[in-house]
Amino acid sequence: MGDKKKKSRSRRDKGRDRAFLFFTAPGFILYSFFFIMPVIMGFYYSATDWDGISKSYNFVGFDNYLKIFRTGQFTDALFFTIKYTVLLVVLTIVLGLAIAMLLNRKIKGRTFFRGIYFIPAVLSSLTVGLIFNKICYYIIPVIGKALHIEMLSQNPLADKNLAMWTILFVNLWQGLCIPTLLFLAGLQSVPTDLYDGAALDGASAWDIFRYITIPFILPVVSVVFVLTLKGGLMVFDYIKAMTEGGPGSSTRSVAMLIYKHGFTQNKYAFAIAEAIFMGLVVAAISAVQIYFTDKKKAV
Amino acid sequence: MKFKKLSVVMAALLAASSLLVACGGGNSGDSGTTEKEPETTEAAEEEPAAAEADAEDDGQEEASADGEVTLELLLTKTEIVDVMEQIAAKFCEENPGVKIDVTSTSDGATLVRTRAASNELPDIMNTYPAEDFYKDMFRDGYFEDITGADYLSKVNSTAMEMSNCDGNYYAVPMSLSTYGIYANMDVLEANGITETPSTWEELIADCETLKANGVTGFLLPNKDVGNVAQRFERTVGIINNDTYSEFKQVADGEMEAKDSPTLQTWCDYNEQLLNYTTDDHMGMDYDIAAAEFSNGNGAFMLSGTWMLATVQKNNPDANVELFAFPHPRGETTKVPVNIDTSFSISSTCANKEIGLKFLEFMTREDIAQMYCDADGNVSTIEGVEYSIPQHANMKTAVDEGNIFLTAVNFWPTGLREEIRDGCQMFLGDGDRDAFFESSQEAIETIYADN
Repeated sequence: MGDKKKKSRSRRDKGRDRAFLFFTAPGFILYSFFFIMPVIMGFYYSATDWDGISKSYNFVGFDNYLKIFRTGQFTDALFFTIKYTVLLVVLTIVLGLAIAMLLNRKIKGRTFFRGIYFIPAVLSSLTVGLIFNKICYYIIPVIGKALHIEMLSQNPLADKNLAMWTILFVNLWQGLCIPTLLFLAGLQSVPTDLYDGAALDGASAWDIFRYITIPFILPVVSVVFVLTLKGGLMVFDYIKAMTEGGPGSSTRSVAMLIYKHGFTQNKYAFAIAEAIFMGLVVAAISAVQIYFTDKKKAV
Repeated sequence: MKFKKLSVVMAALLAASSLLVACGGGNSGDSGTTEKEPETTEAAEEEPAAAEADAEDDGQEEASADGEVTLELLLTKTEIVDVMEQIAAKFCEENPGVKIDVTSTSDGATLVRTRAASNELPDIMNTYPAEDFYKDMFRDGYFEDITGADYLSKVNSTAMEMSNCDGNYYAVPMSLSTYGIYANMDVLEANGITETPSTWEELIADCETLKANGVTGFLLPNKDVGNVAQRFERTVGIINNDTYSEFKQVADGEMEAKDSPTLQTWCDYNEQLLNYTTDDHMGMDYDIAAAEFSNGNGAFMLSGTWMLATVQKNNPDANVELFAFPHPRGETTKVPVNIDTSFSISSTCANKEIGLKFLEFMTREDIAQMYCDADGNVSTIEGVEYSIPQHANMKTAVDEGNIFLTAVNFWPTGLREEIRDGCQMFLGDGDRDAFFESSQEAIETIYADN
């Protein structure tokens, strides 16, 4: 009797395993083919001196990795990328949350405003960059001169101190839409009776925000954090469209540097080595981030 | 616990791999870098996509194979698309059953590199046979060897010499681009200047006159780092025709960048020209500068023969003239030239016979004339009448042999792209020490890599 039961369960298990396999296989194969394979190929090519087109190349071992820090370019680009990412993450969360809370109020034309705030999300980032490129040349200096703001009476992209902030502004202008939407959805999931109860107990607005809103939307904050972190560390299209890393190298992100070495200087293998190194940096940052969010059980 | 640790590692790997893949994903080659010649930057990000799409169509049609041959003609010079479409149509008319799809991109280097990597080079395309990038591809067998073809005898011998690759030929050079200073004659005449300057002193004197009248002397698109790079490369070549050797001395430690006479002169002349440019030169792109120049909002602009098409598009009535960039130290001036358009067929060409026929077709006198009239560059094909008054000075220079092949063809790959950041900074802040330091590093790095 017992034996029979065991047997039938194992048969059922086998059937279930097969079903699992059946469902996971396509994803696994696609993932392996499009993600794992290129990474392995990348490691392979990073140990060569391949220029991206030639049919023959030599193995150079770890030479490319050793060359990464030969000049200060990579460190500069990495420093810029991290600075940019920190600012982007902080500003996205603060501003996104603020806008979402405003849009969550019972104001006139709420649907209209929600729609308006979402429009930039449907544009391509390259297009947005090119549009702002023109705005920075034709419109900003005129406004700056009219208002006698010396800083803005020139194209802000031409100033090495302002260029990063301009790119950041454009990135936020477009990049805030999705986080705001996510925050809005998060805010709407907070049970209103909790707010009512807190109001009855005489809690201040800050207390309500700190002890009711924040705990409920923490998972959303975490998601936004990860998305923005990824966007910041890989920033490329806005920079490409607006400054190409200039003036000089003051807005050159790691992705721009990799592009420069790979595509304008034919140092393909070297660029891959830089990308792999950057990948390891991102992996380390992600590991820290996952460790912390896991601790808070937010995800 | 174990699972948690594993998931951390997996997630970290995932994040890392997505970055790598994203970097590889740039392959489709969008957006306009001003890689080769920053002739036109318009519609930069749309065209490669269009090119790719067309290429796909092309493949499908080939597959249907109902006796019709379809070849793709890729142009990395967007301003010649119109004339090449007309020429292609004419070719198809004379060769029934042949269809030529003209595709174009303003980011040639990236597109060619990615298509070569996937072994999908277009059947016919324009190449730059004097540049190392293409020479390497010729040596690797990506393009058909056309050495000894009859029609090559119709090509000017200087141009043939420039496109020679280890004694073989892989491209038909159609035209030579020359570089110098464009003058808007209407602006000059309105300020009492009737002739283009022929010495550096005259140029500066003219600029002073213009400045006194409140007119912009030079339009310098210094935001456009590709244009800065090109200006640097062409003009240091004028200062010293053999910069390769001078920079080699810097790379070998025989000289420091700050003692390089060529780099010093480059700084000197730019410091002077910056007195006569607009306030917003650091924020100006090439297309904006070209438009301002065409519309008479500036007297001079450094550029090459390819700019004429853009000027005429911006303002059909523009009265412009191209003259040689005078040597800033008063020494003999030679005009930098480069092979501007040349056509090659790839070794993966769907029908080589038709492809070769097309190359021959391009060298036919009437076709070469048609091309030359639209393109504006000095033609290299025998029998073609060069009647572009705006470039008369350049034609004389070419005929007299008062030219040199521009530096980029001799420089180690990547030098122009490495040194340009420092150049742009110098144009912005005028800090010579920083410029010499960055040039020193750029030259050392690039010479060591090649």
